[in-house]
Amino acid sequence: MLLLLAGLASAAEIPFERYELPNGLQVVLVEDHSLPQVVVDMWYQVGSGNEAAGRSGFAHLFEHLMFMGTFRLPGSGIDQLMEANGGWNNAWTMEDATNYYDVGPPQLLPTLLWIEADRMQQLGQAMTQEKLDLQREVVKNERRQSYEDEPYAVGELEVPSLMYPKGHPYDHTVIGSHEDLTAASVDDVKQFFASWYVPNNASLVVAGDFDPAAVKLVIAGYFGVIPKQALPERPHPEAVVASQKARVTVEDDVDYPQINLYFHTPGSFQPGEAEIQLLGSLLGGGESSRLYRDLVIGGLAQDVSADQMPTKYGSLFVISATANDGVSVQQMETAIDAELRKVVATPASAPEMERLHNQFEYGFLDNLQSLQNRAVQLNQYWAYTGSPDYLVKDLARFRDATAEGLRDAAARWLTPEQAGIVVVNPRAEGGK
Amino acid sequence: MSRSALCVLLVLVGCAPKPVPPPPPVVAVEVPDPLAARPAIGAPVDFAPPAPEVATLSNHAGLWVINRPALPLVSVVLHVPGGSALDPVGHPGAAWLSDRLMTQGAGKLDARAFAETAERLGIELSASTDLDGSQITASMKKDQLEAALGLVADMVLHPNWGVPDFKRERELAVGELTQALQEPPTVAARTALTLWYGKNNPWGHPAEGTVKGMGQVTVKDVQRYHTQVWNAAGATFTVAGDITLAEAQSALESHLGKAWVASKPAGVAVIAAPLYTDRPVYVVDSPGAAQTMFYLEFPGRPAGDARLPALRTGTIALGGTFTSRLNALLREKRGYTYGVKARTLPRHGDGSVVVSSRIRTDVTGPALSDLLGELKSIQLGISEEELGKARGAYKQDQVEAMESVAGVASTFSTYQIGGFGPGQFAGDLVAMGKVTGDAVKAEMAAYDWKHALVVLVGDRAKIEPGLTAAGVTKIEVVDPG
Repeated sequence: MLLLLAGLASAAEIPFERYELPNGLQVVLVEDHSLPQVVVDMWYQVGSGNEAAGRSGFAHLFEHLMFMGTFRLPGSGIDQLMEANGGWNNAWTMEDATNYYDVGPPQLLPTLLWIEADRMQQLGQAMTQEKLDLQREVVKNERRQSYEDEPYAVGELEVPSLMYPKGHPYDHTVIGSHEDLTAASVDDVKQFFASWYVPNNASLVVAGDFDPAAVKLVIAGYFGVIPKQALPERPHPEAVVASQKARVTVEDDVDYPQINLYFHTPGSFQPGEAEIQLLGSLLGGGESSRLYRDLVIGGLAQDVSADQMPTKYGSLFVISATANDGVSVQQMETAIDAELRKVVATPASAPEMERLHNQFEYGFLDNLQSLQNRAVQLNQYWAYTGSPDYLVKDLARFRDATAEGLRDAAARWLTPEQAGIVVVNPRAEGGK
Repeated sequence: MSRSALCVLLVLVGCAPKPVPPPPPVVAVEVPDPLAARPAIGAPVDFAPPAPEVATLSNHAGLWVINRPALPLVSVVLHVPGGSALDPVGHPGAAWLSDRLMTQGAGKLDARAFAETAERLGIELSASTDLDGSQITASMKKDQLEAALGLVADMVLHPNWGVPDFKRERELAVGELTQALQEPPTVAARTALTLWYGKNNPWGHPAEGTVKGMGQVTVKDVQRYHTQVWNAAGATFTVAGDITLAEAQSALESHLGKAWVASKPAGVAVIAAPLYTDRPVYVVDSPGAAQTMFYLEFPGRPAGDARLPALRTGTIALGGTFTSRLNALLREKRGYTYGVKARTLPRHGDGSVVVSSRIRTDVTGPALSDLLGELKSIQLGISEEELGKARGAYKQDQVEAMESVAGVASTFSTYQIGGFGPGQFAGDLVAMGKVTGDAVKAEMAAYDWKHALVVLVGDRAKIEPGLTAAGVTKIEVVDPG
């Protein structure tokens, strides 16, 4: 299949081939011989939103355990084998999915596919208490590094409980709590693996310098022996609508107060989401953005940003600003609220829309230069829209967005009275 | 053959009325397990790195062009020598603020109009400052190249910021520097820089300056810096993307050729870091910190040094990958950290090796003992397997650096700025492939503990007993400033 990036200044083609194995594994092949490298990107549709109560952080902990070896490749064999041959890997966990990627020279491709098939088939059976305990400590260290000792990040830990009712798949953080991480057992790991790490819950994108005919045989041979299984029921949460402003205040070792306003917005690739993303650029994308002019040039804040955080069952849009010396959180909040009303009253001008479209086009092209980014992009399309063919539609929804569409999206989803607000204040004397 | 997929098939023999057939035999058929054996790994695929085309503009500025026409994108890096080494005494950050102000108004555009113009055209434009130079980076769709170069030319030739812009950006810079004091990696790196070179060395302060120093920077400081360094003498352009040498030369001549004259380049004498011995362990006190930031620095090799590939190889084996020695011990075996990183920092005429990690507060002492043990151990040399991993990791890094036009421009600009030839990128790849175990072992003396600088950012009261138990005899508390 040949897709055309219609609407971009100069067309770029992304040839890919898609098919499905009898066991339900989705496969996408992206051939690119421009550099001697390959990417194997495995996407499992399971994330923190699928965790059981009292097991927050488990999906991410499990991601770490995926590198702890199997019967065929024990210990740190996955990393050892890849690195010994010029490859490397990593993974990341989200609310809706977990993504594993391997990068390396072309001659390593059969090995990378073998590693992914091997751990999909038998990682759970090879799990031990020792492996779990080791990675539990690594993950707790990650939590300390990324949240507890990271300026302002403790505020992020408050967001799920502020924005989602108890029982919602997103009512807890991806990183989880120390208590829940401690509670995770080997049985939990085996059950989680058996339930979710099956071929019909995964998609595989292979990108780079390879021969598609040869790779198809390898994929069929390695992954074809892994049976399809019934999947657990997925959550079906109601859309969350905030009825009023909610607020939480925390303290951290910082010098200036920071305000973060969260809004419920459409889920990934849902109608209105492109407009919301463009509103992020209109409000906080660069020094000519509206909030930068209001708050930073206006002397209230040192920095400001506005971003969509896309997730499947409804996203969050966040506006963050860090106060200047002597400026209160209330002053920043008043200015942000005023701009949100203004965005409805005064839609984006023609030059502003030109900026949004040009910045999007450049960013889209720039992103596609990376082989790994291309692989992830196609996997995301599959996971959220049901097809990697979504690229043309994806471009169209941004290209076709209008000032009126942005105004309507702001009026519907970015109402100041419905914001969830997290304030991070400098710690009062007395230490942590 | 593995027996993990042994299937038993019942083979039924056809029936007949007489004689009574024997019971159907059970025949065991082994079905090969396709995952039983690892696949063979083929021969390495050659990597033919791109070679820049070279030219000189009429104003003597150097030009390298790397043609990458896959997507309609272009990236331009313009570099001039200078940098924060030229900051006036007591005014650290002057060069950095001067460069930052270049995007706050140029030509006929004030700060607002400049930002609106660049962003409306989808041009990514930034100015930055290092210890020994300044640069402008512009990335855009090809059809915006002329507009982008027009903005760059105005930044260089016709800065148009006003005093209110100066005051605002200086205040923002002070705020950013103040915020950075809460970021352990930044605190450690900036503290180490000053301790490594010494306060009186031109390289002995962060390019971004300090909270106190930035407040002292004046309008005259930033104007003087701009005049001093932004001339065509010593300037280099590195251009990558959907553009030929002729196209780049023509466009640059049009915008920054004759109009941009060459005068005396702003040279800076390099004063290499002194070789200290037996320093104390420096601690930046951070009460309540859950982790201790480790930042260890050792003498290394400058860019272009023939011994650098061997040092780089040993450093990758020490802490450059997931399975490197320090990660295997401190992350995977001990559970002390989320990760450790060791890297070489080759500079022009100087260089060092840095090991950094964030370690759980309660195991700071034992972690330091472990780390020292690994540093001693690696001085005995590395295995053939480690040698292969380091070569592979370096090669893959270089391949990935060639993916984006911005990456290509950035990578080759480093070589061009350093005064190397256009073939040096390929030469370094070859050199890394030829490094021997003996050469690595000889370079491992770089990890000599007695010459180490150790900066820890953590809760002093909680970590000091552990450090003492680990054999640390001298601890000095420092202010990150």
